[in-house]
Amino acid sequence: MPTADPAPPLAAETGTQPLVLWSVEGGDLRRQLASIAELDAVGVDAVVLPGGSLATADPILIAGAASRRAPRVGLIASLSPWLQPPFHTARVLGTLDALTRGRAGWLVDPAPTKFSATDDTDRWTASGVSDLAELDRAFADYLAAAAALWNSWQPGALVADVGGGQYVDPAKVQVPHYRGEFFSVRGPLNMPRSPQGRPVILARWPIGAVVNDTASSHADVLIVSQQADVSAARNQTATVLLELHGTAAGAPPATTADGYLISGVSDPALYGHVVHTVLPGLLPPTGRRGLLRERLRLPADAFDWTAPNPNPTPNATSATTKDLE
Amino acid sequence: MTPQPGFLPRSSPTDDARRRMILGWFVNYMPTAWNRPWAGSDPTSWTDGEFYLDMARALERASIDLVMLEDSSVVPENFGSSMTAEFAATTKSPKHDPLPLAAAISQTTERLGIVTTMSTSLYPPHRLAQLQSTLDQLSDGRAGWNIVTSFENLAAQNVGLDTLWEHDERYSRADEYVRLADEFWTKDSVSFNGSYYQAEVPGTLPPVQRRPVLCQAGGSSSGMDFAAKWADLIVSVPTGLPAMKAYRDGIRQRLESAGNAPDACRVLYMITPILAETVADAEAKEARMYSPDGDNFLRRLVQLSNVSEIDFAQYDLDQPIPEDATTNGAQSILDAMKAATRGSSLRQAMAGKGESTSLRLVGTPQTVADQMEEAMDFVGGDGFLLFHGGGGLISRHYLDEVLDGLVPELQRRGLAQTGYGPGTFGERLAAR
Repeated sequence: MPTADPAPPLAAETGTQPLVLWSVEGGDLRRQLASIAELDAVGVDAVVLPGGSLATADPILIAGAASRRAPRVGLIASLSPWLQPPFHTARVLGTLDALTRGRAGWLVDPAPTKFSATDDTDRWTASGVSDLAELDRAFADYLAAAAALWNSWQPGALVADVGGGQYVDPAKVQVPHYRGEFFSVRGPLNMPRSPQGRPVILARWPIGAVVNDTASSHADVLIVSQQADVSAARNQTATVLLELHGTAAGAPPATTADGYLISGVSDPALYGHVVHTVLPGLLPPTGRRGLLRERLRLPADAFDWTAPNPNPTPNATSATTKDLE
Repeated sequence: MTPQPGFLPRSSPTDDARRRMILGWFVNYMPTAWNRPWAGSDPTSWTDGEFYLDMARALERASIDLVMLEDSSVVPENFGSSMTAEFAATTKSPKHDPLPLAAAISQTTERLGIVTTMSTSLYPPHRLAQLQSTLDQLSDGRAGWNIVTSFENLAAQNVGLDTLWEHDERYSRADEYVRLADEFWTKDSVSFNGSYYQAEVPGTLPPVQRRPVLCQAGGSSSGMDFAAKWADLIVSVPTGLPAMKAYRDGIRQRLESAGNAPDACRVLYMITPILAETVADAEAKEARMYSPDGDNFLRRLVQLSNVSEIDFAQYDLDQPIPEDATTNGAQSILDAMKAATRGSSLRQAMAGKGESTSLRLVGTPQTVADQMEEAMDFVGGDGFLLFHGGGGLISRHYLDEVLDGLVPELQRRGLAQTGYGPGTFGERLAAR
């Protein structure tokens, strides 16, 4: 992978300026919050907040904490689905989307868990499961359950009709009664549809040994680590980002991807150089605004409401992005 | 009962500090007042949290000790077997997850204690421990956990269970759950093999406080045992001075008989003051709030159905509850309502007075402050949890009445703090 290509970055095929996302380094929370505010001011499209371990801070709460000092930037939480049932994940991400007026994203990470935590109920858990095919099926089920919840409230359900005495139109709230192979959730969600309809979903590509895995077939945005993977990733989804790690961020190479995910910039000198010298050349001077899905140029119809699907397909490979719409 | 590690004050409380009551505010991340006066211009804008961030700043300006954010995970179908009445009354839904809001409040305030409600029956213990330690870090030692066990089977069905456990079983599970959570907060690595929970997990990011402040609302005997064992702060709604005193004495006795200091746990009583410029105006306001018809009455019936899981839509409002009525919900509430409506009616029994308030506090800031002072003198302590009745009721107008009217009156009398002491939330509570 080229690390010092001095050529100016090419725009993607669309002819527009590249998207720039930034993966914030873990560690001290105050430093993370200050960095998010700075990246917001520079005009970065979204920050990816680290998760991945129970021993670190929760990225959704960091996003909530950052939401006022960083009023424009997209806030993407890296979160394993195996931490909690789909209901909690659907609800907390929906709330983050409301709290940020449509800036929430989820970088899905369905890797095997590094911990074991079980209880005396007979609910399935990922603890101790290393079979990637089983985890992939479970993740398809998890996403379908979350999608059923996000679709349990139609747009416009909040009517606040004082004369009619009805705050919510009950005809616009469905009980999904979702029952999958691994997860079941009655629903509905107890909150209204969020500004984007659901969070933007991102995944790294390819993931592990499972090629046509659920995460990549459901993601709105795929992240690749080398230019050679861009065209294959583009067959999976419309928006592809090239990850630039560490010093590679100092001189972004030409790419056919839609933009960059900058990561691993922990050295203060490199951080200063990238933020103050490299980014101003990549980003529009006033920064982009609006819903995260709009900033990432995602098709609006991928976020449209569809009736919740209570009978998911048992086979993960036949699950489609339609379930998430 | 042994644990109760509690918090130690940085210095011994002075007599003046002892006189000051602890004040908190209990609120839901739900629609604000939308079908009543002072609703504001946009009755759906609550979703972005800005109202509640403003509220937290106002609480801090008034030196309120803590905000407590309520939570539940259901759209109830108790009243009339559908969501329709709930969506008119907005007692429990729509509601957002309070945790991201708490995280935002941690950055827009500096001293306010931030208590979040989380259910031991719904969250996996490792996840709860991680979220609470994150909030404690973000708030620099101001996090608290309001421990609830949930009671709705619809909530159980949202997390892959058919039903929740019976009441005493839930508390037995909660006891093990808190023990496990405490290990997550205090150890680098946890190896736990309990009756209900098993874990081989790294510890969480260490909280700033040894652990979040633990809050609990235990009304039953097993609930009071649990609260006395674990809680730093108890919220309760015994009605009337004698019941308030008996409740607090009961908690303190439990602590003493376990060899713990009775002041290790503070008791707050929930109140809904109704304030106006004259007592007569306040009484007229009360009469409207608790009038037995219209939107207000429907709201209270729906709320009663939700707390009891009894469908009160099936009963004639102008008759007593039939003596042969049965329920799968809260038998104690049905029995109490049978007794209360005997010889009268549901409508008459509910007229004129509110629920979720330990004292009837109706008057001017001066007369209500008098009553609160008398109550603390009679009961012995420790403070009050303000609450305006849940979803669809809170307004900036009401906040102003309490925070600019009542609280300054309490402050002038030395009964409420005018600033915050040093230390973490837990240390500040212990120093009172």
